[in-house]
Amino acid sequence: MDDFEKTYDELKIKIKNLSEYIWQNRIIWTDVEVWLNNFETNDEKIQMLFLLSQFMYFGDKELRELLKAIYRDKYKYKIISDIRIRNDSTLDFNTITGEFDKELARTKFLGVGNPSESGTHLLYFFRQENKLAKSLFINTHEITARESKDSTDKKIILRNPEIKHYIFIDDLCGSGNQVLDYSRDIVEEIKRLKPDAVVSYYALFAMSSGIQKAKRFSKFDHVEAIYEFDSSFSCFSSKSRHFKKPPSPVTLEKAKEVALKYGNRLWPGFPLGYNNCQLLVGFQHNTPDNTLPIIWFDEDQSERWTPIFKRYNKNYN
Amino acid sequence: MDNSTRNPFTIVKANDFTDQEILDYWVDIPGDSGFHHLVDPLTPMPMIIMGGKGSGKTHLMRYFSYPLQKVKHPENILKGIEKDKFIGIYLKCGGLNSGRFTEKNIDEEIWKNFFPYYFDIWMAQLILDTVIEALSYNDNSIDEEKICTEILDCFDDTLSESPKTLLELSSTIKQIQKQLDMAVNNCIFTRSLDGVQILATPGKLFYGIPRVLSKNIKEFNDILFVYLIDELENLHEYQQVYIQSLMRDIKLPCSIKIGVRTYGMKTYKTMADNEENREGSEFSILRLDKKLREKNRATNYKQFAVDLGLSRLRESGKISDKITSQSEFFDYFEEEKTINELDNIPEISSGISGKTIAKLKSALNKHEQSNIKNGVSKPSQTTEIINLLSFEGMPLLEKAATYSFYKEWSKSKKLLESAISINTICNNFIADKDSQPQFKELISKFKSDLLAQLRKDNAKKDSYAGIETLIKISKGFPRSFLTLLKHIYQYSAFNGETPFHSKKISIKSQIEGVKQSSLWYFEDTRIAGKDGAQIKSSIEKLAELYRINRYSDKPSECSLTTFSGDLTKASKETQRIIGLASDWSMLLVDPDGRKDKNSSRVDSKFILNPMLSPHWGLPISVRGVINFNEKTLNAIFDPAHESDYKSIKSEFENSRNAPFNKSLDVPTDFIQGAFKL
Repeated sequence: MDDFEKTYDELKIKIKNLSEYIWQNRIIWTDVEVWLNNFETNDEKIQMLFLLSQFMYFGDKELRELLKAIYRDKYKYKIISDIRIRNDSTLDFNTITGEFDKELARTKFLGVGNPSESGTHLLYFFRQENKLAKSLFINTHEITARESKDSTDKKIILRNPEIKHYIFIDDLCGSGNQVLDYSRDIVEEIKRLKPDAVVSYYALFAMSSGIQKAKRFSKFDHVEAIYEFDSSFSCFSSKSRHFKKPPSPVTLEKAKEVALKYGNRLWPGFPLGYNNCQLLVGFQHNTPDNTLPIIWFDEDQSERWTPIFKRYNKNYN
Repeated sequence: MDNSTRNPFTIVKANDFTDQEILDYWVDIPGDSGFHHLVDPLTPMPMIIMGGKGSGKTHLMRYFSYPLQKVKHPENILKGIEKDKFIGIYLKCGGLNSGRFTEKNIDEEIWKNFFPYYFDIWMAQLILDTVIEALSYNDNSIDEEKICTEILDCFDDTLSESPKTLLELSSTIKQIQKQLDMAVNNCIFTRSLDGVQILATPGKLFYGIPRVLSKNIKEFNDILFVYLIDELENLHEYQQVYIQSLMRDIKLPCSIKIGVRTYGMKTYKTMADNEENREGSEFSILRLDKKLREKNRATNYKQFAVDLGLSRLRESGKISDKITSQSEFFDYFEEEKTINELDNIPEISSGISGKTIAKLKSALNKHEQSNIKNGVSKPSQTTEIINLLSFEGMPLLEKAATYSFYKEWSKSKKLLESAISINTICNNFIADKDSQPQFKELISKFKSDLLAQLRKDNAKKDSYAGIETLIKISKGFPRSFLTLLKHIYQYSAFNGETPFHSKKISIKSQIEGVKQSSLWYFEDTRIAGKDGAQIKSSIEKLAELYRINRYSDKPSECSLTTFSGDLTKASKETQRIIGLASDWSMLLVDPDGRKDKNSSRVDSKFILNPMLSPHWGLPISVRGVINFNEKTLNAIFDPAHESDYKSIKSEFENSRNAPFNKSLDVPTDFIQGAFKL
């Protein structure tokens, strides 16, 4: 058995196991074969099969756990820590619970992006998993209001000045640009109207570079992510975790060449994913555009491309 | 996952089943009385149910236990027990956590006296709880106080409490066990078991309680109390000595059945002056996997295996209750077409442009110099040989022809003359197969290896498909068979098929499932520490040699997965590792051994478990046997001699591939006839 055949068989076993145990049986081998037919030669196919075997998928269960972690680790524990500091390091359960409930009542959770996008879509699960009241969730337009009902009145006030915590939840912080947009359009306005309001941005996942940018340049009080993708997650970077020991005949250089060749056809501006993120990541609800387009591209029908983890793209028109 | 995609073969271990599932998935072996006859729960003679990993011991023992009797007789368990004429008290030794009763700075003699008492207390609770549960269905009154008094008499001292009911008695004994547990748990600090008092002579409770119950409870008057002690391998040697002692002194109305892995019986000694129990005298042995392999009507493993598969499919709703026959089950699996000697084989090249001839041509050219002595000195002679041995459209025949040619080459015969002679034989064979009986026999014996070579040369997968093949691979181990079906099902579904539905399971899915099962079998053998690593390394070396033989120019033995050897000459470590590999069913032992050609000595004989064969592309059917001398045995199995392996492997390769260097110390031969296990 030559290297090609051996590696092909091993990758098939790995992909079968991934499909069964991680990908929630979303993919069967015939899907893989159809996807591989996008590529011309056997060598291209084996390089891409290897990339697929490295794909990181976060299913419903994992996402729900991460949403719990955002609430518990990023929000609740911070508040409890403040309560204890304010109360002489108390361990009294009733004191802590009582004060926490008060803080929670002065909190609003919001999604990032358009209501049809994934950031806001996740709020439903966030509320379910953390057993939170519906009243704790608002849309961004519900943060402020005109002072009077007169439409000529341009004075904007906070709709509920009692609110102390505004928590923005997002699925992925890629470049960090959207966080800066939110900072400029919403956070600055909140801070202007209520300087002591605590406005936080929490993402399930983030590119390290994006989250650093957001931390540095945004007006959010807290900018954090549960799962950070550093440069080792960029699949063709010199630190790539995916190519530590690729099986023969797979190499980083060859795989990159193939990904670029087809990526350039599919999305000429970003052949290796938006902002050149080079991710190999997908979620149960969507595949981010920071992932290689050869994985998810399903847009331009003239390209006749069959994706393996389809992206439900944002249509801004 | 909905019912239509649920894999009916997911659970392959009886430990993972509920009582109801044990019953639902129960399949008997064909024959007059099936497993009931083999286990014979009504015999007072103790029995050891011995078998390798996955031979079905636990399923069998649980099937005869009280919880299953209850499921089998839902209307009235007491009547059911009376009808069965026995009550099964099941204990899994793993639950005792036997490692607690060793060392901790406590003298070995103390543990030797402590453990029997602890074991008896444990069993006393088990039997009392079982009986209390069963009696809850009883309408007749029983004199529990009298029973308690008589059971208390089994103790050598008066207990601090005087229980009047069985429930109170069970509670009292539980309390005793708790105290013993406390003493054991804390002896690491106290370095003694001084506070412990042994309140009953070993065996008195074990035999006494059933005797009292039998005497005082009408429904139990004529029944046997069958202790089903499973996973004995989890007990230390001195602890097994106590179990052996109980077997030796068996007293009615009790009987004992021991479940143990083949390797797990550490001793047959008893506490009676270390006297050993003997098979046939103090106990009988049911060698489960061996029994399932026996070729007779009473234990038709093939039928049994198919019934196992059908039972799972029926329970999962995948097939109708009406489907019961073997042939219907067979139909689910796509079969390879039988290949005859003169057939063309799709996708297998032959003739001048084929791989077989290309390889031969390359060998002749490569060893041009050495061929001069074999009479080949001109390129035209090489071309002539090639032409004589090419048989376009008959790849198997061509392979057999080149194999014959390599054989002649290895004997330093004149190559051109040999090729002419082989060409004549082949042409005669084409005209009339029976005119060339030797050549016909050669193809028959080596067909599996030659086809494997053709597949390998043409980048095709080894073929392990068809239900008969799966049954052969599982070799009497039901769990292996279910594991094969489990992985085949997974691959079939992953490949977009609808297994056990409208279409057959493809050969491709079967091969992939078999390979995965084989890998699982190899990886799943969780032998701890250095021994585990050494066994795996040895098996890999052994398989490598078998593989070299199978895919060589001139395999010396056909379908080789068996070796024999005089183990007494091998190092102690070699003997130990071979023993362990056998214990873990990686090697299967042929109890008859093999007679040495040059002496009356009978050598030990071992076959690689066929579950492992697909992992290395080895055959399933077992035919050839290779005799290893002590040097080879040690190089394979003893890490101290590992450095010899490289040269042995090299000699092994050179002796089987052109130009066939001679410097062998590995005598080989071929044994005809079926392998007996």
